Amino acid sequence: MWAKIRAVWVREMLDSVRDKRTLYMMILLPIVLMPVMTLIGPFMTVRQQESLAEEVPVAAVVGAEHLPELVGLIEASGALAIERLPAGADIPALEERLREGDLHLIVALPAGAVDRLVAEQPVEIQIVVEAGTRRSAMAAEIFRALLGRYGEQLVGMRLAQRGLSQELLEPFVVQARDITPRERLAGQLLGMMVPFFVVVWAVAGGMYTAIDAGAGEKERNSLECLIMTPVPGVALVAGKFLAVSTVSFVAVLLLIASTSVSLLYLLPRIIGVTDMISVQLTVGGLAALVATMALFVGLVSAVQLAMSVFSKSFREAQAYVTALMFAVMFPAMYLMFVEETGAALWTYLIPVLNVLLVCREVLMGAAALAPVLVTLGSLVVWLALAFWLAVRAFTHERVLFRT
Amino acid sequence: MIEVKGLEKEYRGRPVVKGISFDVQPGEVVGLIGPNGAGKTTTLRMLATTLRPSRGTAIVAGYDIVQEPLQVRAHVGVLPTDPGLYGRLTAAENLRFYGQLCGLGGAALERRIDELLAWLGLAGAKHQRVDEFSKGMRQKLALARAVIHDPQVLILDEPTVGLDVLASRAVINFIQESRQAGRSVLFSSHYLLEADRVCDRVAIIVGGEICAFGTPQDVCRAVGAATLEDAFAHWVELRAGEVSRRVG
Repeated sequence: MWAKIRAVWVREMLDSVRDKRTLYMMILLPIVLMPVMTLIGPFMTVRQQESLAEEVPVAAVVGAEHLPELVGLIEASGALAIERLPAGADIPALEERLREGDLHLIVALPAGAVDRLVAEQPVEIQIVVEAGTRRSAMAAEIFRALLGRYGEQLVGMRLAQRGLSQELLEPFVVQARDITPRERLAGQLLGMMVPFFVVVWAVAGGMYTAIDAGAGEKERNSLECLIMTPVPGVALVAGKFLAVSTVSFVAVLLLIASTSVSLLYLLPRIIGVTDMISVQLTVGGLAALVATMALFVGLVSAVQLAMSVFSKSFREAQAYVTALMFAVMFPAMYLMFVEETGAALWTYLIPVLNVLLVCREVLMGAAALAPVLVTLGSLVVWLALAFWLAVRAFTHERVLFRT
Repeated sequence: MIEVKGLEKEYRGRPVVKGISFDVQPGEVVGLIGPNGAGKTTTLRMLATTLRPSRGTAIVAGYDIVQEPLQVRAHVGVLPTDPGLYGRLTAAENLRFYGQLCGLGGAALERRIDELLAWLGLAGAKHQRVDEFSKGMRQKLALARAVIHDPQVLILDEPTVGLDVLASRAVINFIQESRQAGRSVLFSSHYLLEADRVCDRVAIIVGGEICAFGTPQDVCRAVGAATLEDAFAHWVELRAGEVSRRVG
């Protein structure tokens, strides 16, 4: 029996590696495109920040003569380039320059500002920003920070005149210390991305092999020849199932490897973190991760195979597999952005969700034995059910000749 | 040999094959001839065990098609209407795969592959991908696949359809050589001249029923027809008339 299962497996693998679509999904996309997709966002952000830092935003100060001390402080900081304008300057014209990006901030200082400060009365300063542009928002932020620093100096002087300490205004001093180990930070980073890739690529990786093994065989009319051989249907399905699982598992492993290298090695260099961050996986954690992934890949492969055999054509199978892809993608995307911790034990019975949770917990070093065991048990049961469905589809004449 | 006993098949309550019986002896070629939709392919699929009969059964190579389908498959070579080969695999890889599924392996299988490819004139294309084959080459390779395990019984569904003269001739030669080798050959066709030339006996099937079974001469004589084509037309028209009377 094993020799026949092996023959089907080898034939499917041979067919798969000669199929450009499978090679693309199994090797090229995980190794090349996914890391590029992972790194392109941070890379662009860093480039933009560098570009923002290189060019000092320009602020037009209308009525600069009303508060020369503040204007001087801003100029001395070098964080904003100041264009001094007299009171009564044409504000609409300045706003037009702001829209065009020639200016990044307009500040209007009122007449008599110095007198009001001396009288310890508030001074109303108007600022105009184009909040939709990063540079203008940044200019406003810098201006507020410098204004705050100037305000602190004034308040300090006022308190000193009254013989009071500045500490009067600061009853609390907060000293924060982050005890999160670097490994955990790395785990969080991987825990956000890797589970998503695992579940999505478990479907995408072996998609074409699964479609080809069922609907593809129907379209080529080779399925009828195959079932005329003296091999029980369960052995034929087992060989095909092994082939789809192999392709999916290789794709998932390649994806995890390339994503890990991207996130832990390339990303720190792009964002300027010089010390290498690493994940500390225990042997148990690694075993749980691999077992969960392998069973999930098996489950998805069996479901895809059943869908593929049931389909009349390659196109129909593609539609079913795409629906399956979305079905696993939504919970994966949800969990990617939600920090779900301490989920109830029964949630580990639900396929996809349990894989996402276990992968994340293992990578963050927070996995407990009970959820992992419930997950593995649940996946075994679901896998057996899906495999049985695939065998049923493969041995049912109405399904086989549904063309 | 093949012994068909009251074989019936229904699809969703609609009878497609209605209690047919016939036999094919060792070293004999029997043609199942009928118009499109007559039930030829369904009958062949039941005998090849890919479809389960609704009623009745058949003994193929000494095994019951309902009770022992795997044994039947081990002793039968089947050629469906479409060759159904793996295009991305070479000729040798296709044959090796089916040989392994039939329990063959090692040097014996490799010898058998070489022998069959040489016999069918495909030795030069042994390592060529099937995607690059002509229709005739594919049909020859499919024939090689059908006999890779040296079966006692051959079931061929319209083996010459769509082939050019030379390729058809190769298939006919193959059938005749199989008869000489002592195999029972059952093949379906709607090419009556071909059936007349090759078959020892013919079964005319119309509307899922066998109307006539015997040597081509006997079948013609029974309805006073000069040729097999006339006898065939007689039965098709007769059944069509019966159906229209029933509907009317």
